[in-house]
Amino acid sequence: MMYILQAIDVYKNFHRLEVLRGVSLQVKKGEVIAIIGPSGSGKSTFLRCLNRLETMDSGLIEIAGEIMVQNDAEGKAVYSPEKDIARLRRKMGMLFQDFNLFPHKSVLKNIMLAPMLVKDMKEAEAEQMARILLDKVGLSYKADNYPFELSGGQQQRVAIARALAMEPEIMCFDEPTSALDPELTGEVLRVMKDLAMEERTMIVVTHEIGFAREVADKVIFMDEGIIVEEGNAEQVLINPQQERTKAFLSTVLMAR
Amino acid sequence: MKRKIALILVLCLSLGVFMVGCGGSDSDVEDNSWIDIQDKGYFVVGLDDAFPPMGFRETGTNEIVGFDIDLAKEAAERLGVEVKFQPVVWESAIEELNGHKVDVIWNGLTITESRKKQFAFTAPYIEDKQLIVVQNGSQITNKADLEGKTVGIQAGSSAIEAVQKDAETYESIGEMVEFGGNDEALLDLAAGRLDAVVVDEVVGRYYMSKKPGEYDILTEHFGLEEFGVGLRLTDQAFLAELDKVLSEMKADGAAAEISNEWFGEDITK
Amino acid sequence: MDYLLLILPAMLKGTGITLKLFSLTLVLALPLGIILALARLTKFKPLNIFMQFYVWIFRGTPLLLQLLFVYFGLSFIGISLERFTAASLAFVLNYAAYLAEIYRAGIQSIDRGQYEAANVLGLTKIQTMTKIVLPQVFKRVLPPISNEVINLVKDTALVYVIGISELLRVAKTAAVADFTFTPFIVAAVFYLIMTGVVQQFFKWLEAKYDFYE
Repeated sequence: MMYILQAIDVYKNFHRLEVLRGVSLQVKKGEVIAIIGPSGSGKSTFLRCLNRLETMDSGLIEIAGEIMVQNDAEGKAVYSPEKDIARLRRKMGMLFQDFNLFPHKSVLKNIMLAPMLVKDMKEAEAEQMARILLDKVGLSYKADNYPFELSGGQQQRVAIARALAMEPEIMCFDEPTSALDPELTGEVLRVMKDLAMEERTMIVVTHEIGFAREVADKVIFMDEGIIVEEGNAEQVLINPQQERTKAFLSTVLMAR
Repeated sequence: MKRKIALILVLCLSLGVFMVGCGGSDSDVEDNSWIDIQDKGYFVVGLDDAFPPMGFRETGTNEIVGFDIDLAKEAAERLGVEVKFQPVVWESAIEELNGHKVDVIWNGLTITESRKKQFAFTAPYIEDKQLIVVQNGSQITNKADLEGKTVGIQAGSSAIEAVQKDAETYESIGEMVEFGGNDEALLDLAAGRLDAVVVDEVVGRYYMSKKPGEYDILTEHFGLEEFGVGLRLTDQAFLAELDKVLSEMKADGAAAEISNEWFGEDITK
Repeated sequence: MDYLLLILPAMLKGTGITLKLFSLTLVLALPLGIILALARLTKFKPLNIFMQFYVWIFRGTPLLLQLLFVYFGLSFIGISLERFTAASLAFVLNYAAYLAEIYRAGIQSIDRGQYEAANVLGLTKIQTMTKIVLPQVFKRVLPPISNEVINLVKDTALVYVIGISELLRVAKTAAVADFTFTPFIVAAVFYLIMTGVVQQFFKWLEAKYDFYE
């Protein structure tokens, strides 16, 4: 079985603090992975290591069969040349907790920018694609608005469209709804569900247990820099085996 | 590399300032000053162009005119070279001269002992007094009345030295206020914030003619002094040439004529 | 009134010199400031340290002193610059230092998320700088830059120390020659017109960039 993404034994320290202590993940094409866990568990850091927003200390990451980083003889992570990494990480789309839209560009231009700059797409073509994607996230009528004129949920949907414009093979979501008011999370989750239905490969770091249960093919519970428990949604979320998983789920569900 | 260049630059600048400090001490260099001026065909007069009536801007034409200007033009003609006038700032006169930005300072420059260490002076061409100017109708009638008073004076001017020489009066004066220009001191006097101003006679009389009835001059003054043209200490050859034509101009009446034109009398020496 | 007409040509000529120095300084210092700011922010240590040193020198000493250094100081080591060249050089170096610090603060104020978003979309570092960061920086630095530009209008008056007859100096020579305050009033009006234009221009520019927050 060919994995579209493999991460093996990823270690990462921030100064003295061990944030990741040997995390491994294998993702098949079309799979939806949900990573849950308390804050400080290392789940966001792990996701950011996958597309090199963080530099890891040791381990291996392979994307679509190509090595992005692997250990040298001493067990230290060695990255491939910048040029190859740039190509590989283009296969990964990334969504952030606080959207990070470009405030000085209209919604449409936010989406058109990267295809034009990175893929040399013609403006007309980029615009056509941007409009289709905006329609997909239900925001055609906001094409000419600026990000500050949009609600958080709308901004995150634009960010999704912007990421899709680069036609990534894997979409990574780093707590995409945690900066949103509760009444706005639904619209974002709905768009993400649509993506999942299209058989897109997705890795979602989230606090939304309900979403994970409904959409994820595989749920990973992380704590203190390691994967404590993983399996399908039912195994991990309904019948967790580990005490730590049970404790976490009860606090999260109590907070509801 | 860039850092190195910056360091060198800073060192050079410091050196530059150091040399400004000791300007004109390179006296063992051969004196080509007169040959140089003949070669380039002109000499540059540095002057404060806000110093009437010696050198100033004529209203309307904005040309630099004045007694010193006419004198310098006449001298240049006799030397067979052109003359150019470059406004400079009084405080930087010595740097302008030693940096070869100008060739002479010809600007009602009073010859003093301390300045002789910085300039090579020509023979004096004017004799002048340091006057005490007061408001018209002032209670002050002599030096003794200056006791405890506030007196204005131009910063860096020879008037300061002249007053200091008269130790008794200098001690008794309440406060000496230094101004950038004589005009500012005189305006402050008119405004009543000063009790008196000490100023060169030629300059003082010029301003008083502009505001008749506003000022009064005391009969007592701070002594006579002489104006000379200041050259680089090294430029002895040029100095000799300039001195030669200046004495010719005095002898044949040309200097007196210019003086009459500007002051209505002959105050040349 | 007649007197005003009499001094006007000279005052206009002085204004011309003021404007020439002003525009030359802006045209050169605005882009130089960006380069210096980027050099200041680089991870390349020697360049970084040099930039800190540069900014320290040019912000840490009076512009008046820098003028004297460039004009007189350099001439004593054999670099004899024309008066106006020396003035321009000192002004450009000085203003670039101030502008570099403004740009630097502006660049550092841009959220890290902007870099990361550009990064994951595959933009190169140069594209991120030119298309994402700097356009946002310009909007943020407009108010402090407009302050500097207005200061520049007024700072041009300093070049009288190296014998350049700019507007204020012309006013001074006229005031002295005629023993009147009028030329200073005219100069004040001229400066107010110039700073007024600058102010309006930046107001317009800020409005133009006000389409986002």
